[in-house]
Amino acid sequence: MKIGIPRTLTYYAYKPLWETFFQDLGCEIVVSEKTSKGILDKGVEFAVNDACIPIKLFHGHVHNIGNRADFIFVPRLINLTGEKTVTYCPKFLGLTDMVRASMPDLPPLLDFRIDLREKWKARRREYERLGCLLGMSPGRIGHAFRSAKRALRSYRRRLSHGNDPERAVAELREHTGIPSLPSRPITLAVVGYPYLLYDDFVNAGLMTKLYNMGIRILTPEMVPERQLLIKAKGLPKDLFWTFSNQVVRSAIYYIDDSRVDGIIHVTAFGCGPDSMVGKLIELEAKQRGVPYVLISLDEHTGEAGILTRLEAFVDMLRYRRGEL
Amino acid sequence: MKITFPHMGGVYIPLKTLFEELQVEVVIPPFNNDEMKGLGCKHSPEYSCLPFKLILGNVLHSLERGADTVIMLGGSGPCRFGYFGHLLNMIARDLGYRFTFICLEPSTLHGDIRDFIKKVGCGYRTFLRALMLGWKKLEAVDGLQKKYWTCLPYSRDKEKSQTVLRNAVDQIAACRSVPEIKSAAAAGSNALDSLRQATDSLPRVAVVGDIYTLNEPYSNQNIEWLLAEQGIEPCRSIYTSGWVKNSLLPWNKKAYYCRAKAFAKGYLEDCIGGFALDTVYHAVSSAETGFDGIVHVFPVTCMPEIVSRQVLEKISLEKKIPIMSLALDEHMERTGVETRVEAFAELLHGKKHNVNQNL
Repeated sequence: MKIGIPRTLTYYAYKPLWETFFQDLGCEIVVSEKTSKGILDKGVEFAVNDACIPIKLFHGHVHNIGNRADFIFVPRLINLTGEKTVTYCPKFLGLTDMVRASMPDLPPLLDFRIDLREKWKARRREYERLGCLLGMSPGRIGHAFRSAKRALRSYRRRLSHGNDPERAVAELREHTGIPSLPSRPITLAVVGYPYLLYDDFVNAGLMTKLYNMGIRILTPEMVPERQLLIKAKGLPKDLFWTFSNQVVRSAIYYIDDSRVDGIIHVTAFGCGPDSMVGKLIELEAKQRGVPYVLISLDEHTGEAGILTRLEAFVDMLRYRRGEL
Repeated sequence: MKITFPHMGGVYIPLKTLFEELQVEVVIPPFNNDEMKGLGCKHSPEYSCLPFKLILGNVLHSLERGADTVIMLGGSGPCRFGYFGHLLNMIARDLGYRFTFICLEPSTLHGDIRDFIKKVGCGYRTFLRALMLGWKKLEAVDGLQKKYWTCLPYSRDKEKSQTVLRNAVDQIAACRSVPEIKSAAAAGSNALDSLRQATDSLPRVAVVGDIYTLNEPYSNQNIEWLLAEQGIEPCRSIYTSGWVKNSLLPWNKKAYYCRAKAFAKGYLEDCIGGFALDTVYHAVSSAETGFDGIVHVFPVTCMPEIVSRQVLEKISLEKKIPIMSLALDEHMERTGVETRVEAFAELLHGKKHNVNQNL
């Protein structure tokens, strides 16, 4: 049995969880190809034109695995933290319906919905239901679920040490001959959603460009969970979106952090939650006098444009330090 | 204390009544216009939706006029509306305004109201009486509006109908007791009826979308008026009073959502926040109750409505009903909307009279 998983949105945050779960159940996993122009074009074709680029890409990725898989895994994640008012962006919540409405010739979508606010152990029960749908025995499902959880934990640990999901930073440096960091590197906190930061096509190679410039990068995943919860108390009210909360809280953490020279906020054009997130970070950074730049990505984002903005920002930081 | 609140259609009438009955001075911003829009756009984040920009414009304008207390509704998401209050509080403070900010959150509603009553120094009875009076006014105004839109396409002198409605609304706004409101509403309703002319029935269109865009004519380019001018009867799916009844009152809430979910089954399986479920529900139910078309209005970058827009395309195909979607933002020009409405109206008239079966 082949399960197709689109390589975007929540994939970057939960990939080992699902991959391990399905593999342990003896399913074959088909992950869509890395984002490319073709995938984007397909996404633009199927998704409604008001949607943001991540949603369009999602449609493209689903199309990409459409004819290679028996089932497509489009999870409806509603609440995974147990916090009462926190869910995901409405577009994530309605993703299954969007895909069903606009892409008729697809293999069946695996029905999967987690809302931890509803009942105790909702997560486990949902995985059990999913396993039953695939015709597995309860014992096997339980085993797969436990090892999936372990995989997610170790993945998060690796992320928190600064490894990006696709490859470790050290490995990147060895293979592509990126110069090792100078003794006192410029340190930038790059905050944004995992599906923007870790998708090299969407962000036009933003992370790689920063590595090449000899900059130390800090990402939201590197902030310890406990610190995030402490920073949450500084906000008048929690945001309603899991990823956005992570971004805002980590941005505030980095603004307070004396190691950080500046903040880059990466956002998608027309992203609803980010209009709030961006302003919150901007106001906070302004108050503390921390340089802040917003980079917004869309279908037409070009490498040159991004590079110019990054260089200008880094030059400004060097000038502030008196290095220029 | 000088209190202010943003506009949303006729909501200023009950709120003004409520605060005036409690002897609180009220600063009402002018009706939304280009100045409000400019002011709001200047200070709001680029991708925030038009409702936020207008609301921010309203609040900043009132703060400039000396208001010292802002009252806003909160929410529990995942639509951005629940964070509007806090964000505009932060933006206004960053601009240097100092004021008291009251945000009515669903989780702390009772406490917030208690604090407010204490601050104003009135009794609970006065408060409840004022609240009831405001509520009756809201119901009366919304009822009148509903009547107005069913009569308008059939009336020859549309300007006159408009004047009649305005006068009636002003009368209701000035009332001091419930019987007065009732008689004013009845008089207004009769006056509107008398302007109606008997003609063939016109195509009916359901106007669906989020509550702000539906109820604030400035933000939807007065879409209902444009439709009525083209000889189409608009039917707004959500009125503020109806929403309060269905979604805020705990004893109605569950039944309403069960009904909505039943209708939306197969299109939208979950309540995804904002008014997406309502939009899909009203679209399906109006397709099944013999409406001739659907107009979907929503602000650009509105997250829930983008989902419902994509789902509406499927409804349009399966239920064979024409749907026009209008994403509105501060750059929308009246001419562009007019052209689209004209084309849509032509299509509906053609369909109704079987001019062209292929349409």
